Amino acid sequence: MSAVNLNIYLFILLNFISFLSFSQTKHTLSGYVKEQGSKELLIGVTIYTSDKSAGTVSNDFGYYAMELTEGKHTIVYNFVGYKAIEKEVTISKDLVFAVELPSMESALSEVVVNASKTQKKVSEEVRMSSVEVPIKTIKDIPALFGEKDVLKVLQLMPGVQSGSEGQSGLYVRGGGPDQNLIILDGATVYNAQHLFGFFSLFNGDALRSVELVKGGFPARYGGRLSSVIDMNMKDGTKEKISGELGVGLISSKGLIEGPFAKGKGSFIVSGRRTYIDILAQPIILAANSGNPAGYFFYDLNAKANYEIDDKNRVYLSGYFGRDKFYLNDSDPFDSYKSKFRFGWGNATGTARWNHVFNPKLFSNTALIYSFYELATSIEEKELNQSLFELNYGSGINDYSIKQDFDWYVNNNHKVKFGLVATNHRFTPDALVIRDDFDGSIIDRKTEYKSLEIGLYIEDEWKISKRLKSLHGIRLSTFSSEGTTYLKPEPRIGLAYALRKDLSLKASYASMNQYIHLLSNSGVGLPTDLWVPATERVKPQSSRQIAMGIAKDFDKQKFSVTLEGYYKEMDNIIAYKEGASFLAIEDNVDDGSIQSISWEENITGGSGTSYGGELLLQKNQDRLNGWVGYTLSWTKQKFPELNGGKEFFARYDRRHDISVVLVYEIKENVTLSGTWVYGTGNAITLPISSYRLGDITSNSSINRWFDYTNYGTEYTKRNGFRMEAYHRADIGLQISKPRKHGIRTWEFSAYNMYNRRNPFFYYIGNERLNDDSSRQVLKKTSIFPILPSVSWNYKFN
Amino acid sequence: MKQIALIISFISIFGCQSIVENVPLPETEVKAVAFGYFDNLNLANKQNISLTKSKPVFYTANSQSSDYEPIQDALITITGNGDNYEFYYEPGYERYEPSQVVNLQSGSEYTLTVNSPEFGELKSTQTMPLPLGAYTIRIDSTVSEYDTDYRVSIELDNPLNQYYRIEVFGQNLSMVEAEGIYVDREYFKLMGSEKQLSASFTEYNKTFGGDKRNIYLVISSITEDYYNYGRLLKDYNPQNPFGEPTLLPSNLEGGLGMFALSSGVVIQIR
Repeated sequence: MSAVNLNIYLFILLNFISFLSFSQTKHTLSGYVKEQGSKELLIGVTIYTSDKSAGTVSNDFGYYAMELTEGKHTIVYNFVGYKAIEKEVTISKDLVFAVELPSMESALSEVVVNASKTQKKVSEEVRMSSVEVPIKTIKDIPALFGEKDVLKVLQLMPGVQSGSEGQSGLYVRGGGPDQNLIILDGATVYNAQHLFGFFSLFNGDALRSVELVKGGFPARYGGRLSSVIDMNMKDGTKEKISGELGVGLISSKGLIEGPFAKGKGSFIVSGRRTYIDILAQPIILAANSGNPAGYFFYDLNAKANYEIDDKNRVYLSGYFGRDKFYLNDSDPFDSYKSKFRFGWGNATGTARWNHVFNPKLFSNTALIYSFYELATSIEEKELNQSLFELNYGSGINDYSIKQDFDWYVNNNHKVKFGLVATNHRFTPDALVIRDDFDGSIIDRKTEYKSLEIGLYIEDEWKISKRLKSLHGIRLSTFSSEGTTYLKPEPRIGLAYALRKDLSLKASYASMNQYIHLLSNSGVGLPTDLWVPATERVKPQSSRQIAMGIAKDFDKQKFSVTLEGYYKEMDNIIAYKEGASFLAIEDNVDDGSIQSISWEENITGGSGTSYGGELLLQKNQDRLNGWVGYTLSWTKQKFPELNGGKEFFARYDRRHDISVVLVYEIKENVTLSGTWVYGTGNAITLPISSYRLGDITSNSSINRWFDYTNYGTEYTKRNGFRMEAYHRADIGLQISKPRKHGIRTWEFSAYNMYNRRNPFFYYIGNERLNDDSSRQVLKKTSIFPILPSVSWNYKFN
Repeated sequence: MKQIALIISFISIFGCQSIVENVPLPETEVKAVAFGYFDNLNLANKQNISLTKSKPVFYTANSQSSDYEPIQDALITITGNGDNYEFYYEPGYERYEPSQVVNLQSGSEYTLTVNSPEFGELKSTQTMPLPLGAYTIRIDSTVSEYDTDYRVSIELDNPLNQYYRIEVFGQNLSMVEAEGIYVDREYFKLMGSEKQLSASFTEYNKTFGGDKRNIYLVISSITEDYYNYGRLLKDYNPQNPFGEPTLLPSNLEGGLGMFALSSGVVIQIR
């Protein structure tokens, strides 16, 4: 038996022994924590006895449980953005005790003098590499065109990088956007982007909580390598019908929520639609010979919940959103007509049942549906006879069943266990092309059915007063097209309190990802394809270790975390050199088009990412926000790319800085600002061209390109750095109570010092004085200074 | 795809374009570019070496033309296994021809040396691949009205090399000179104990009507560098705006290009 195995067995034995409680008689205090008034369930509320002998945290459904000895106790309920309250309880048997916390907004309006914002203590948490972003902060931070965007706020966290200018894709600790698990009420969202990535699906209006996990993943999460973004929708107020209206430069939005069934249930519905296409239609019609064209997107969130009794609650929630681009073309003097349609969208649906078996055992059962689809169509007609028709689509369809248990064993052990089974149906490409001119037809549909199962158990163990552990294991399986993978994923996190407000942390997480995203644009195009792991294309896997310190400065009311990480990734995929994302190529021999399998277009490799992250955060008083700094390296190695030599990933970023400040000038006036700086992206740049020699065939003639074409000499793959990216945004919110609610005006400026950040580089021509021209490197910048204004009205 | 390109063009048009001036561009120098392919078959009389100059992309006129200046004053030799082959410049073809037939021996190492006053020395040393050895071949075909599909499967008894190429081309019998009517090729890298090479190709009957022709199958052991080059060039399409950049490998120290060696056998199907 090796020393490592011996240690593992000892750890398990100690763990088991500590499950047994030999102390004096204890009973369980349990219940739900809600927001006062709306009765929204609150996630992540810290609950502890005033002597700190026992403590717990409310779960994803606001439920908590803890063991207490018989007698009187003072219980403290503490949550960011809410007034901390203390309650006296007398324990003689198991006690169900529901608590309502007043939010800071309501506490202030009631002139509660001693109300103060509370900040979560990072030094007391066993978990590391995770951040909870308050929804209010998301709404306070200035945004592009005033469109609040959850994912763009997450980009401001250390360890998280954006792709190109204005994009909402996330690159977490060297991972790609496909390696982020985005969950909305338990349902996976596959493409969280609108307008080619400039906006995300989530504006925060209907959200209750957002948590980002970058490392030290608890075993309940699986299926992606780099991050988890876990979002929960609001339940809807149980107080009275209320809502919000908002009008911005490019979209309008609305929200309505309220109780039903005499307060036993509540609902919330929110929606958003852009209207540039409607406003600009007269101009488009004039410019396009009376033919309509345009683009818009919309989102719709809805949720309802019903409290059957103290032990049973049910929830039904869903999201539906779509982007549509349309372009018609016809000439009144000509018989030619064409139509182009390009759209993509997500839909999710979740039905959940919470059941309290006993005060210590909480269950959540969920049926989940998730759908993503891209559809493109082109139709060309002459004299009403079809000339050309193209229909291209790709998508993914998931049906899942999920069962989670929270078992509050005792004050030293909180165990979560459960399973999730997902039936995936991938359609990487469905293509129909009918060219009536040359008679060529392609009718191709690739479909894969896969089953993914994850079985997990994790335990948050208070080993001693100073040492805590969050350890667990996830067993994941994936079956597709006759190939089955089975992989264990051990996870462990440790936190050792050096002092009351200072702790050392370490974590290890092994992750597997059974689905891949084929993407060569790097711009978050919806044309990126989701495909399953197959016998030929192996599942991605990663191993990440992280170490860090967390320190709370109670008097100064801020916290600092410093973390270092090292992550290895295997079987990541990339397009082969020269491959195209649509996997279609011209047949040079007869001029027709032919299709090739996506598997032939890609190649597998490995990646390494390491670096350090510093986060200084303040969530109290009038000035709050954070400063984040990341120093990182991300390298990749593919046998078939760059001559098999290691190269920097496209989004390798040596330095990344973000500063976020929100200042309440007075009660109803908030000034906010952000500044970001990032090392330029790494790209491959052509540097010279040359004539290719005739060396590829024994025949006396070759394909045309063998000898008439030219080769291009590039820098090493991703061997050229674009210029650094930096930008500052500023926003001002002015609220005023009105007769039926609160009106808020927001004025903001994106890129306030008008920095011309590059969106992409290209080779262009520069005209010289002697009328000749020469080739130069040019950049396209898309967002100069962009002022915006929006109006919101919250009625109640 | 035109429409997708239009969307991207829209961003280009409405975005702000400017010349990148605050980032130093990679230094690029004009390089000598040499290509030479030598095998034991010399089916198409290709024992020659092209030598041209590359063109920097930046601060030059648009270089996407075929006008690449030949280097005419170089001394070129291939040496190895006790042999020394010299090449002379043939202005009519803008290439260097050998003074005698180049006959390279399998398993021997050969060095291509190019010396020019402007660019100095280019050098590449390669080993002539070992021959194919014994093999079993199976060819299946499916004939339809317009074309014939062939499936070729070759089992090597004892592979002596790791890299292979299967090439197919036709030759009209009525032509005095060998003229291919169809060319295709596949590249292979054998891993571990693999011994099988499989390829398929199509002969388009409709294109050339009822012309009689021979179809040749050339199975070759090739060098690793040539395998990497040929495999990438097979799908090379620099005009595709959605394509990933193709970094064609070079095995010439001091310049660009490829010194390619191959050892093959010819099988006449018809």
